[in-house]
Amino acid sequence: MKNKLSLMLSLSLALSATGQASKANDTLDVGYERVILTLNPYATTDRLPLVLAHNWGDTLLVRDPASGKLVPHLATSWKKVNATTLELKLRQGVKFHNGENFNADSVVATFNYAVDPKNPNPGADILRWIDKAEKVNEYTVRLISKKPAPIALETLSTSAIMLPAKYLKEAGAAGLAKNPVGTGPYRFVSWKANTMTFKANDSYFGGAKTKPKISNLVVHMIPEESSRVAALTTGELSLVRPGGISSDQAPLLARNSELKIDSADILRFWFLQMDATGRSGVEYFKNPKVRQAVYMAINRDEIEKVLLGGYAQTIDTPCNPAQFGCDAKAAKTYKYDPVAAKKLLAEAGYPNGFTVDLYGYREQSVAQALTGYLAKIGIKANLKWYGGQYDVASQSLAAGKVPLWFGSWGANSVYDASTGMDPFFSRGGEFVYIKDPAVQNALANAGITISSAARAALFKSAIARVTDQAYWVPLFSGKVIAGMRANLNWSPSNDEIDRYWLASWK
Amino acid sequence: MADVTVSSPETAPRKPVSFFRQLRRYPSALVGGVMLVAILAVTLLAPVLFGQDPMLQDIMARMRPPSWYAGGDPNHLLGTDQVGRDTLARVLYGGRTDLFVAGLTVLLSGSFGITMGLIAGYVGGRVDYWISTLIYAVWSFPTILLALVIVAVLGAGLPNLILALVITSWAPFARLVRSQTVALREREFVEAANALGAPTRRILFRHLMPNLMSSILVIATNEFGHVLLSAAALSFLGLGVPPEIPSWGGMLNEARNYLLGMAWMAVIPGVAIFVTVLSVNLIGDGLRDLLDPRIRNN
Amino acid sequence: MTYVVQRLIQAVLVTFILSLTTFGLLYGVKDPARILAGPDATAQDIVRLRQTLGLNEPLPVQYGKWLGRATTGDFGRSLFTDEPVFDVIRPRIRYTLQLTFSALVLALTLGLFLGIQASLRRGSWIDVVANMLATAGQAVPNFWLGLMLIILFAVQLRWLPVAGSGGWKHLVLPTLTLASGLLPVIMRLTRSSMLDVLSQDYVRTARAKGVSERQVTVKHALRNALNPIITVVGLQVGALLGGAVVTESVFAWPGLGQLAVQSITQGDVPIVQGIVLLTALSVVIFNLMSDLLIGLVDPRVRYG
Repeated sequence: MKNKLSLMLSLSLALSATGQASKANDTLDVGYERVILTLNPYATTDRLPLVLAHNWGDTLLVRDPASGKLVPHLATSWKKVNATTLELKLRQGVKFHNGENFNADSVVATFNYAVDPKNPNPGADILRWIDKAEKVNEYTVRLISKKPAPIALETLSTSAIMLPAKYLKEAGAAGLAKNPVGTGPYRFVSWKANTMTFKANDSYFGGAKTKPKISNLVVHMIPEESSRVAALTTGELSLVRPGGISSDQAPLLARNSELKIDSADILRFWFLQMDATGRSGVEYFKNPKVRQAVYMAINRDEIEKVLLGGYAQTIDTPCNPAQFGCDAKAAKTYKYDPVAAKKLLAEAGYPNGFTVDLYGYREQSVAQALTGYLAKIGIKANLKWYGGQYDVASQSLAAGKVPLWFGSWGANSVYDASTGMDPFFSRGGEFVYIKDPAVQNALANAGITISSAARAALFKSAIARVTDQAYWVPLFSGKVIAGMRANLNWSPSNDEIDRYWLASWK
Repeated sequence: MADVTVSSPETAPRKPVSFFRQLRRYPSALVGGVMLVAILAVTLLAPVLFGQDPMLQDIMARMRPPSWYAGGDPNHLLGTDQVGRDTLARVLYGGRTDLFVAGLTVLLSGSFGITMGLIAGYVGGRVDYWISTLIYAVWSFPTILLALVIVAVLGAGLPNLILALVITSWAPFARLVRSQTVALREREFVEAANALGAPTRRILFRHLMPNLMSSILVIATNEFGHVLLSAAALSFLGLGVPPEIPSWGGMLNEARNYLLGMAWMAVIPGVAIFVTVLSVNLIGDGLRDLLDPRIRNN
Repeated sequence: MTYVVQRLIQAVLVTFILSLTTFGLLYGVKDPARILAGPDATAQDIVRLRQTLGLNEPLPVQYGKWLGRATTGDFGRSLFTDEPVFDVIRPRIRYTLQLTFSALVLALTLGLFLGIQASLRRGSWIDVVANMLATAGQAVPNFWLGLMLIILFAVQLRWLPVAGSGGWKHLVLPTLTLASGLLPVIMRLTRSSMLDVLSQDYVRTARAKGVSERQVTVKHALRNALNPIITVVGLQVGALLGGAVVTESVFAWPGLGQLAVQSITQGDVPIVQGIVLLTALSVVIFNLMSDLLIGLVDPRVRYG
C-alpha cells in the first residue's frame, strides 16, 4: 500500500506543474463569478453579458473614464434637432466581424429590435425613451423620443451596443444569444460549456477605444469563489473580474507576491428595501415606526468597517452620491440604536417581533449579518438566499413577493440619480414596493426636465421624502475588487464595464 | 427474475443475550458504539453543557481561528464563522439537526421498506413482481438528483427534506427483506404456523420479523450513514436544511467561500460528518461480522 | 419465457414507472404551471406556460403527449433561454460520461486489485490497511474530500488544476473524488466474495490437484466471485451518477450534474426533467446489461 501511494505521488509529480503561462499563450483568462445564460445584452439585466458586449461590440458614443465626458465613437458627431430629436453622424468604413458594413441601417435595426415592445428586452429598458429610429442617409440617423430625455446620450454610451442589420434579421435573438456579432475590439469565437473564447479583432477601427494588446480572451465561468481564487493562485486564471473577489479574500491575495489586487469605487450601491405598501402580503412595514426600527437596528458602520474590511462606503441616500442629483445632505439618517429600535417596535405593536422572509443574492455575509441585527430586536428574518443568481432572485422581486429585499443596484452605469431611484420609487415598474405620490411626482418631473438646477432640486425633495419615511435602509456604496497575476497591467473601472482591450503584460 | 443478493447470511433464530455477549468479541462495533454514544451525548446535551447560542452573531469577533491558533479566542474554542457565530456551538447544534434528519429518515424508510419487502416476499406472485419492479425503478434514479428535484418541487424545509430522503432510501430495506422472506417462507417454522392457521399478519410480524431483525440492523446502520451523507450533500448544494437551522452540510456550504486561508471552517464540520458516519459504519461492520456465520466460525 | 425476455419486459415496465415519476413530480403535486415556472415566476410566465403546455387537457392525455414527445428526444424548451432541452443537455453528456467512466474504471481496477490481495492474504497488513481505508472511504463525504483535494493538490502542491475542464489533468481530482465512494464497496465485496469462493469445495479440489495458485485465483475464484460484483456495480451506477451531481459542482466540471443543479436553482424544470429521465434511463440500461452479463458469466442465474 505504501508502495502504491508513493507510486501515485511520483506519477502526479511527473504530470509537472499546471501553472499555465498565460503570457506565453498571450491569453487573458478571466474568471467570472456566475454562469450566464445569454450573450445578448438586451435580453437580460445581468451585467456580465453587457460587460462582454462592450468588448465584442461598440456603442455610438463612449464615456471617457478619466474625464467623465462623452466622446465620439461609432458616431462622429451629434446634435439636438429639437427637444425630442437627436441626429447622429456615423463613422464610415467600419465593418462588423461578419463583414457587414456599419451604417444607418445597422443603427435603425438595432434600436427597432431593442426597444420593440414585442421583444421582452429588459436590458433595453433604459433605452425606451426612444420612440423610433430613422435613417436620414447612409451615415446619418435620427433618434426620436416622445418626451424630452435628459439622459439620452448617457444611455447611448452605456447600453446601446450596435448590431449588424442583416445578421440580426437572419439569426434573430437566438443567434445573438449564442453567437454575437459586433464591431468591437474582440471577436466572439466559441462558447463551450462554461468557457467562452474571443480573439482580438485585428482590423479594429479604434475610435475612442484601442486595439487590444492581448490577442486571446477566454472567459471561465466559475461560480465558486474559492475555486476562482485558487485558479488565480495557480495561474489558470490571469484575472478574476472585479466583483469576483470578496473583501474577505482580498487580504489573502494581497499577501501573495505573485498576485495583486485592485479595486474601484463603483456606482453600485446596496440597500435594504421594505415593502411599504404590503404588496407582498406582509403588512408590518406599512408602519413607519417598524421601518424606522429596522433602520436603527442595523449597524451600518460595523458592516462597512468590519464585515467588508473597508471595501465599502456607508451611504445615507437611496442612490449613489457619485450620481448627479444624489445629494447626501438631503438625506435624513437614523442612528444605530438597537434598544431604541426595540422600543419603537413595541410602540408599533410588536413587542415580541415577528417573522419575515429576507431575500438576498450577493454579499452573503452581509445578508446573514442583517438577519443577525434584526434578530437582536426580535425580528426573525429567514434568509432566502439566491447565491449569485440575480436572474432568479429578481424574478421574485418583480413578482411582488419580497417583503425585505437586500438588494444592490448598478444604476445602469449612468451617473444620474434618476437611474438609481426610478426603478424602485417611480410610478409603475416591476420592482416598485413603495408608492409615495410626493416621490413619484418629483421623479416623474425630473425625467422630463432639462434644466440641471431644477432636476437637482427635484431629486433633493425625493431623497428627503424617501429617507424621512425610512422606506429603505441605505447601506453602502461599493468597491469592487479584482484579483490578477502580478504580471498583468489592468485596472477595474468605476462603471463596472471591464475594458479588456486595455490589458497588457508587463 | 435474477435473485442475486448482495449477502445472504444464513439467518437462524437467535437469542438477544448471546448477541450482546458476542459484541465484545467485535472491537469495531464496540469502538463505533462508544463513539456514537459520545457523539449523541454531546449533541443532545449541547444546550445544557454549553451555553452559546449557535445563531448569535458577533461581527467584531468574526472569522476567528480555533483557539489554539495564533489569533484564536479562548471564548471560541473552535473559532467563529464569517458573521462571528461560534463554530463549536454550530457544530453541536448542527449535529442535532443532522442526526435527527438521518435518524427519522432511516426509521421511516426502514418501516416502509420492510413492510414492502415482507409483503412482496410473503405474498409473492404478481404483488412481488410489481413491488420488485418498483424497487428496481427507485434504484435507477441517481439518488441525490432525485432528492434534489423533490426538495426543489416541494420547497425547502426539514419535512420535505426528510420526505425526499425517505423516498430515495427505502429500496435497500425492501430488497433485503424481500429476498430473505422468500428464503424463510419455505422454512418449517413458517409452514407450521401457516398450517396451524395463524393469520398472515401474525406470521409476518411474529415469526418472520424477528429472524430478519439482525440483517435489517446491518442495513439500517449502512443507510444511516448514506442518508447522513446525502443530507449533508443536499445542504452543501444549498437545497437541504434551510440556512436558519444550523447543519453540518450548511456549514460546509458557507465555508466553501473561505476555503483558502480559513480552511478550518470547512475542516471542522467535515470531520464531524466523517466521525459520525464512521462510528455508525463501524457498528455496522461489527454487526455484520457477528452475524456472518462463515466469519464467526473461523 | 426465457430470462432475457423476462428481464427486458421488466426493464420496459421500469422505464414506464420512471417516465411517470418524472412527469408526475412536476404535474402531480400542485398547480403544474406554477411548479414548472418555479416558485417565483411572474403571472405572465404562468400564462405563457399554460398555453404552451396545453394544461387544460386531462392528465393522461398530457402524459401521453409528453411521453410521445420525450421518446423523440423532445423535452420542451428551457424556460430561461428558450432553447430546446436536448440542445442544452447534449454537449454536457460527454463530460459526465468521461467522469463517471473514469471513476468506474478506477474504482473497479483498484477495488478488484485490493480486494483480491486482501482476500489472498487475509489478516496480513495489506488486508488490515485496505479494510481501514475502505471503512474511512465510506464515511467521507465525497464533496468534502473534493474540497480537501483541491486545497492539497491544486493549491498547495500545484500539481493539478483547481476546476473546470480542459486536458486530462482536469479529470484527475474529480475522478478520485467520485471514485472514493464506490471503491470501498467494490474492494470489500471482492474480498468477501473471494473469501466465500476460496472456501468452496471445488477450489479446494483444484488446489489439491496441484493447480497453480495464480490459476486458482483467476480461473476459479475470481470468475465465480465476479457475479455479485457485477450486480453491485449495476446497483451502484445510480449512486455514482448522483455523486457526479455533487462532484461536478465542486469542480465546476461542465457535465449534466452541474447543469442539473444550476437548472434546479433557476427552476428550469424541463431541463431538470430531461436530465433526470436521461440519467435514470441510462442506469436501467446499464443494469440490464449487467444482469445479462451475469447470465453469461453464470448460467445458473437463469433458473434463479
